[in-house]
Order: sequence, then C-alpha cells, then structure tokens
Amino acid sequence: MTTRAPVELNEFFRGDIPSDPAFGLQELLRAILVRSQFNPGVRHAIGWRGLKQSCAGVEGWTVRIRDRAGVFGLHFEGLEKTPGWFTGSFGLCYFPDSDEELVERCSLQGAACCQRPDYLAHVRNFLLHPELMDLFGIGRLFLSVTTDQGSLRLGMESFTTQRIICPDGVRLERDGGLVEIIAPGGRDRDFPAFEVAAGFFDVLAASVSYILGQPPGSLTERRFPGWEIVSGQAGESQRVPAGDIRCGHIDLGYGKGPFDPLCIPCAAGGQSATFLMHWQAPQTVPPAYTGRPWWTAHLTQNYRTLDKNTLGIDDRPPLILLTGFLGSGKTSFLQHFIEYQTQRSHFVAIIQNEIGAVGLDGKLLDYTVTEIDEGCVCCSLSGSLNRAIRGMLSQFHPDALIVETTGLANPLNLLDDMSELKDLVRFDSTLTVVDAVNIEQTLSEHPLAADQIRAADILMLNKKDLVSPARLDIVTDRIRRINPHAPLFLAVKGDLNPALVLEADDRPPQAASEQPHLTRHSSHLHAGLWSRSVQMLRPLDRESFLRVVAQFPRTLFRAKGILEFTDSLQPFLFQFVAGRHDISVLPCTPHPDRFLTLIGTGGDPEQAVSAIRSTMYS
Amino acid sequence: MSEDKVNISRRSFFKGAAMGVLGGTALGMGLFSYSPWRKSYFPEVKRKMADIGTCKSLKVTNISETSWFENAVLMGDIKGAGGLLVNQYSYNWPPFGDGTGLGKGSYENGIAKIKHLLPNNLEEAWAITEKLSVSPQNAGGFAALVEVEEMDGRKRKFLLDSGWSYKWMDECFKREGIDVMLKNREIEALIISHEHFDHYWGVPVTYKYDPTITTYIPEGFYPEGLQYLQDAGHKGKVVKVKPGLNPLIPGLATFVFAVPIICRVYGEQAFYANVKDHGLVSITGCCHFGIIQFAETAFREVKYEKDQLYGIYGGLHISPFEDWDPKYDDLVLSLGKYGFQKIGCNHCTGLLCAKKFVEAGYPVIKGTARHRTKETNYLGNGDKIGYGIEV
Repeated sequence: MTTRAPVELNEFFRGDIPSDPAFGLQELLRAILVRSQFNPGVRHAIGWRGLKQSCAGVEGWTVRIRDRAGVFGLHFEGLEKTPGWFTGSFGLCYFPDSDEELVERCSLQGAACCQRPDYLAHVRNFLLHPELMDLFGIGRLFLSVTTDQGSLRLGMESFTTQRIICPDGVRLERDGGLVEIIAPGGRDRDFPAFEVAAGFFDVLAASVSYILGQPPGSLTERRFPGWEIVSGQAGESQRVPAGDIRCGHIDLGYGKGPFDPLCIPCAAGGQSATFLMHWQAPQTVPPAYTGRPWWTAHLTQNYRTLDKNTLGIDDRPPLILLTGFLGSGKTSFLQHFIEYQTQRSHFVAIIQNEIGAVGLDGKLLDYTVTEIDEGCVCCSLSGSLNRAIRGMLSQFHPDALIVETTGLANPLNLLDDMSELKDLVRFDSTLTVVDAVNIEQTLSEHPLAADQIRAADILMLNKKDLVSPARLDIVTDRIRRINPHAPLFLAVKGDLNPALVLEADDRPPQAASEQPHLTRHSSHLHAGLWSRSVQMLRPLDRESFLRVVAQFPRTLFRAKGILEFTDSLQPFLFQFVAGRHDISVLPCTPHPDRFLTLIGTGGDPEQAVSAIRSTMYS
Repeated sequence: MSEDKVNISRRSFFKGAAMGVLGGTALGMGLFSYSPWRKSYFPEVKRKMADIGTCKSLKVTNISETSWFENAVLMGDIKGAGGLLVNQYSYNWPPFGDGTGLGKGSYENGIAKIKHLLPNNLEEAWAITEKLSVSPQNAGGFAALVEVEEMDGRKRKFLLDSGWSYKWMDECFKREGIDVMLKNREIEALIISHEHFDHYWGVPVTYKYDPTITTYIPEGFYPEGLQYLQDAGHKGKVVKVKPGLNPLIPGLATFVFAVPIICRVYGEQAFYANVKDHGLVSITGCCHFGIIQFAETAFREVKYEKDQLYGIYGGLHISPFEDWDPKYDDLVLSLGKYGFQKIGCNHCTGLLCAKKFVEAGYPVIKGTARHRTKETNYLGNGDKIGYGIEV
C-alpha cells in the first residue's frame, strides 16, 4: 500500500477533538456543514438547498438537498468504539414532504404525522419530538478522525428497506365505517431507507471532498443480513430475518489511513459482512462508482483558484427583470431584496432607468446602482444596457443583477436583449409587481399593464392589506386570466421573501400552496409548484430535443440540466425559463450526471417528462 | 407475505383527517413502537442553568459600528480577491497592504512595512499602509465599551473589539474618551469577538494607550492573528477562550461559538450579562452564528433573572445559511417570541431589518445618527444604551 498524504483539518477546523471527542466531532460536522454553504455557486453545485441548526441537548441540523422534496434531520447520537480513531455517530432522518410519493411507504403513523398542520413546525424542532425520529429515522452516519487528525472517515449505515408486516392488517374508521387500510399480512412500513440516505450521503461526502481538497482514498461498501418486523394485534412485535433486506454500510476514507479498524461488524451475533467493494487508491475507481459526486468535488485549491467549471457551476450571475406599473411597489421590493442578499454576504447590482421616479434611498442600503438615463430600456437602449452590465460585472462581481424597468416599459420587448446578454448574465426571470389597489384601473387605461403581467415568470400582488378579501379574489382572477401559470405571491409593502424569487429550483415546492388565502379561493394554485428530474441515459438528438422543448406546455415554468447531444462530444448546460431556452457549453466538466429538471405549476408533469424521455430513444 | 392490496393513498386518507383517527382506533389494532431501527436515545434535553451571578446594571457605549463605509467597495474587493472563502490576510487591505494589489497580499509582507511603528506611531503606520493597501479609505471598525455596575455599586469596564482603521479608531477612541480610560488603566480587559478585519485589525490602537491590557480571544485564531497580537505591541496576558461559557465577573460572562466564518475566520465570542431584576442581556459583535442560535443557547446554558431575555446590543446577523423554508426565514417574526425589552442594533443588522423591528413594535432604542452612522434606527456611533439603568 502506498502512503497517502494526511488530511489538513486545520485549515477549516480549529477545534480540539482529543480533549472532548463528543463535543469535537459535533464541532467538526458543524464546520463541514457551515463551510459548504459560504460560496453560493459551490453550495448549489454540491447539492445543498437549505440548512438550519436545531438545538436541544445535542446538536442537530435540518437540511434540504437537491432532488428531494422533504427535509433531512441529522443529530448527534454518541461515540463509537474504534481503536485509533475517534468516531461520532449521527442519526439520520428523512421527513418527506406531505405530498411526496414516499409518504405511501412510511408507516401509517408516519403518513398521518406528515399530514398534520404542525408537521413542518415539528420538523424544524425535531430534537424536541423524539417520536419523529422513530417514525422517520432512516439510518446513521459516522464521522471519524484518527488520533493524530491525519485521516478522516465518513460512513453511513442504513437498511435497504425498513419493513413492518401486519399479520392482522389495520382497519381505520372513515365516514362512520371501517376501511381496511392494510390488508392482513400487508406492510405498515416499506421504506427504501438506504436509497434515500445514500442521496444525503453523496451530498455530505461531496462537501467533505470539497473542503479537504481531495477525493477519498478508500471506499468500502458492505452488506449485512437484514430483518423485518412482524407486529401482531396485541402490540407484540418480533424481528424476523428477511432474505431481500440488507443492512448496507458505505465508508469513505480520506488521508493516510489505514481504514481497516473501522470495518467492524455492525450487527450483534457476529454476522459477517459481504463486501461489495473494497477499493483503495491508487487502484482505478470501479466503474459502478465513478458517477458519485465525491470524486470530483475537491477540484478547488487552497480556497483561491476555485475552478467553478469543474463543479459544473454556471458562473454568470442571475439577472432579474423587475417590472410593474409606477407606484406598484418595485422599489420597496428592491430594498427588501438588497438587504436580504447583503445579510448573506451576497452583492446585488441594480440597473434603473426610471427617470424622475423616487429612487432607492442611497443611505439606507448597500448596493450599487447604475442609472441608464437615455430614455427607455425597452426601445433603444440595448447597447447601453449591455455597457452598463459589463461595467458592473468587471467592477463589482455582483452575485445578482436586477434591471428595474420604467413602469412604462414593455418587458416583452426586452427579451431579445436578454439573449444578447447571455454570455454575461443568466437571465433568471421576469418579476412583475402588481398593485392590488389600482390594477383594474391601470389595466383599463394602459394595455401595457397586461403585457407586463403576461411577461411575468413570477407575479407579486402587492398591497394585499389595502383591499378586502373579496376584492383580492376579483383582482386575482383578473390577473389569472392574463397569466394563469406564473406563481403568484401576495405581499404587503413589497415584502416578498427573496428566496421565492431567485433560483426557481431552490423554491420549496409547496411555496405556492402556502398562501392560505389563495389556496382557498383560487383553483389555479391548488397543484402548487412541481419539479421532476429525468436522468439522461444517452446523448440526445438535438433536433428532436428542441422540437420537444418548443412544445413544452405553458405550465412548464423552468427547466435546467446538463445534456449531451449526438452531434457533439461536449456536455451542454441547458436552461429554459418561460418559453426561452439557452444552451451553453460546459467547459471541461467532469460532472458525471446527465439530467434535466423540469419545474412547473399545475398541469400534468408526466406529459412533459415522457416527452423528454421519448427523445432519448428517437 | 402478501402485498398490501388496499388501494387507498395514505396521503389522501390522512389529509385533513381528525387527529383522532389514529389515536383512538388504531392504537388498539396492531400499531406499535416504531423504534426498532434506532440504536440509541438522546441525552435528555435539559437546561444547564449555569449560574453566572448578577450585576446591578449594564451600560454600552457605541464607539464605532461603521465597520466600512461602502459595502459595494468591500464586496467588490472580496469578490475580486477570490470570494468569501479566501484568507482575509491575502486581500491586501490595510494595515497589511504591501503594494502588490488586490488578493496578492500576505500577513508577513504587510506587517513588515509597519511593524516597527506599532503601537506608538500609528499615524505614520497608517500613512504608509494607505499607500500600499487596497481601499484604505473604506476601513472603519467596530468597537464598544461595556460598563458593568456590580451589586455593591463598583463599576467595571470592558472593551469589546478594537475596530479596523488606525486613523478612524483613534478618532473614535478620543471622541468617547476611551484613550484616557485606557491610559488610566480603567478598562480591565479587551474582549475580541472574532478575528475579522473590522473587529480585530485595529488592535494596536488599544495597545497604543494600554499595551498590557489583558486580551481575551476566542479559541480558533489562525497563526497570522496570533502573531499580530505580538507584532501590535501587546505585552499583557492573552486568554484563549474555549468554546462554551466563560464567566468573567459576577453577572458577566462570554460565550464562544465554534463556527467557521467567511474570509477564513473561526469562532466568535459574545457577552451574556445577567442584570438584577431585569434579565439577560446579550452583547454581540456580529453574531455570525445567528441571533436565534444565540438566544437559544442562552436559554439552554445560562440561568438568568426572571427567566427573561431582556436586551440585546450589537450586530444581529440572522441565520447565516439559506434556510429550507422561506416562510420561517424572517428574523422579525422569529425574534418576537423571545420578548426582548430593549434592543440596540447596528453594524451588520441591516437598516431595513432595524426598520422592520420598529414597525413590528419591538422596543428598539433609537440613536442620533451622528459620526457617519446613517440612520436613527441604529444605535449609532457615540450613542449609549443602558440595561437596568437609564442613560
């Protein structure tokens, strides 16, 4: 075995594990989780979508990641005995989204729990609700460091299936009668725990590789015999061996090793493991594992020469086109947006051309503004806009740009200009602010207002507090007739959470249905936002793919993914927002996934998904 | 084993169903403990209620909260130097400028230009670094004077942070009489909240007037920061505070949060003060760990008067990460439940956020918007706030 370089924990972690291993290992996990969030592009590419500390007697975290609608919970359980190593064990839960298909595979109590109105509030504080961990626990993670801190190991343990059999079945009351919800001998719980846990493990392991600046040098995957629970009517339950269930272990080692002392049996009774994989550098990475994100996430050096391309990161800042009639609340929204981003150490650049309107109060906010004062963005200024954006990018490197158009501008006229800017910025969306008080009058006097609503990818109905609920319904219906598909959010004084605007795929899928008023009154929003990912198994024929794209239903709001076409060896970044698409080359990316994520509101997601799938075989 | 053949979606069955559906019927029908896959149980969730004593009152003087004057310049520099993960000593900001330009500096090259002038000739040191640094005019700094009145009436003074620009901080110290207090040895310790440029790099200004002052730093300083303590001319005692609670005097403790912070900094230290008959007061530099976490930690760790979180002072950073549910991601809402009775906010809080506090009816103590503080919703430069005492 060749000697490998030790890991350098000291660059990002200043804790003292030997003097208090339990505290130190929680601190190490905290450092990994927190540091992974600092760079928005890297955070996104690795797969993080939200992180929230949750504290009780021990430290816990709630987390959202790419491609899962639910929330993961992570909490310290205790120390494990591993000679030569300090090892902490962390419980892993998955709290599915209440609408997610996976709810059907939770236990009845779990499924019922998901539908409770206080479910998410409890999830936020899951450490105070131990019953949640019984219902939604899916496995454990292990974080180990050698006594000399020269090696680190990240491990995971989970059952392929968590199954509970009910020999007697379960019948529940409904409408005065009894409904057999589990047939005798049926399954109360049948949860694909390993698969779900592995999704989280991939993201965490990619973070470890990124932070340590190196891929793992050791990989072990083992399987132990598993069991299921048979639970009778009287409440007695027993473990029964189940031939199709395995307890799976996966372990990654970083640094010097050796990692063998960690491969201790997990099950009592001396059951022995089946090794699926026992790999060590410098052997060739086994093909079955080459696609896992932890191999490539480290390709950044010394936190300086951050090569974003290697992570498949689109480095262009997003651009939001902010439109709405004079006095609708655009400036108020801008103020909230800027402060929100500033709080997160993100920097916003604003381009305004609203002549004579009340501008942003310069002393209140931290941002940079360029004013284009030669008329109207919509007709004559694409050159000027281009210049302004170029200037801002080189001087300030903003994380986001907002072009605030005059209230009299028609955003539909600007879409061509947006495509000319695509090498500089990533056009994210058009946000139209609508004034609930005046919109009807405005619409009757200015047909342009209808175009502004029609052009919106996101609609903000502002000043909801100044109109009656009945009036709000009428206004909502009116807007929906002009633009039935864009997510519509209600707001007061322009205060719309910017997380709902920027990065559509970061938006919680239930966002739209969280507007209680609208769910009650507007049938359009019942379905809320949906998101589907399609793995691309082979390169696509460009023409037939673009034909499908041209026929995307209006309900499809956004699509994004990495694709390969048969006419080129290079992968491409594909982005689609509200009818427009953009295909750009991804330079030198080792990003292994080829996928397309579709996001829409209402309609039939499966139609678009199957249309995309069909192009794979055309 | 037969498959579950009943074709009812669990989601639709339970959606909107009365809570009793499972509670009443099912428990007698073969539903059971769900913990077979769980291997361990938590330690009991218990408040530690550490006793840090009480003090009679507490007064905070804002020496400076304006850490930098143009955020656009600051963020432009950070981005240009490589982003939020980059080591702050490499930016080539003052006082460590070496003339090589943005992102190409180092502590060693920067300090070599001015080390011989620290801490007694700061005017010349700053004049040199102004020529060699990136954006020297943008540097301000954060510092506050914390005055504790003990139960027997004895007054004790602590300095929280020492800002950034030598020039700006010296002006601020003189404005508030800190220079004289330091010379007279009235201030018993300097508490550094964290290693960030705007809180720590102005430390020679404190040592110019009191080179032997005891200095508390949170554990986790990087080697450059530790070296700077010596290079800045400090001759006194250095206390590296471990993560957790660190009682200082009756009624006053610091708490160190072990957490990575942007620009390669690790760990932040803040004050908890327990004011007799009022409650707990929290004084923070930036609160990078998030004000909610800070309040939750107080609740869990410390025993305080009337079980009341009474006041806060300082920069109130919100949760440093993107939360997973924007509905809850609102500091204004989440802060309300703690029932703070006296809020003095500034620095990194955000002026709009401060405005929202005021609009939400929170007891924000207004400032006077002098000495380059921008707005009265901030407790600004030169303003004072009292807890258990009127100022």
